[in-house]
Amino acid sequence: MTLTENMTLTEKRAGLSLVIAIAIFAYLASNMIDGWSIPDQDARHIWRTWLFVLGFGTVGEGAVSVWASYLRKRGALEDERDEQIVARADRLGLMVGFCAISVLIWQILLQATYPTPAPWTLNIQHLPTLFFVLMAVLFLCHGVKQVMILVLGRLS
Amino acid sequence: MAVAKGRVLNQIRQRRTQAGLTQQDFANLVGATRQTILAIEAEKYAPSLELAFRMARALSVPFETLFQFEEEAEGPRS
Repeated sequence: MTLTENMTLTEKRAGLSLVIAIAIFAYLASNMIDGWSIPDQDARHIWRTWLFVLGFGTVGEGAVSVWASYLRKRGALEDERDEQIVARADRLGLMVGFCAISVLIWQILLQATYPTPAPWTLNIQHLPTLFFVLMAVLFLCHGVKQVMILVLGRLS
Repeated sequence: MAVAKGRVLNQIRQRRTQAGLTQQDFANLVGATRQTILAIEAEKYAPSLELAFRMARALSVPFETLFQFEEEAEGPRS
């Protein structure tokens, strides 16, 4: 029995969604990062990157949904255990997002409190950095959710 | 008053094999995935009441024959 035969439709969906998210994040990072720093970029470039990320995400997730509905028509099921796993993964993704945004708020407050912030803090006032960090938080939440679906599918 | 914890045990694997059903056949009968049947048989997942009744009905056994509730012994009180 192959690995994919051993996976539920929910797990297959999560795996594909994760691969798509990683590919789109790689595109985002290649557009925004230069080495280990985020250089100055004009707003037009950021707009274009955001629209492409949104477009790729919509097309990718749409394709996954179409493929999943095709498999459902062929008899693949998503049952109560799948729903429970997705709900638990959702909660964890939300919690990770809450923590990441809290860290971001903490960084903003730190920068507002001290005129010369420590070098290890993110420069939130720099638009490309703020954009990249916020997008990274979205991808992180989505990624954590998909990974948790795969992990819980194996463990529970 | 604190309620003692417990766990749901089941006889699904024995009854299913007696009925000559594979996990996939049984999953199709009760409208669940094979992985869910696997998790229930391994007692890693407790099914909903509806799925539990469907399983009992599919195997033609009374509900309480298929599922048992075992209360864990309470530890020593401090």
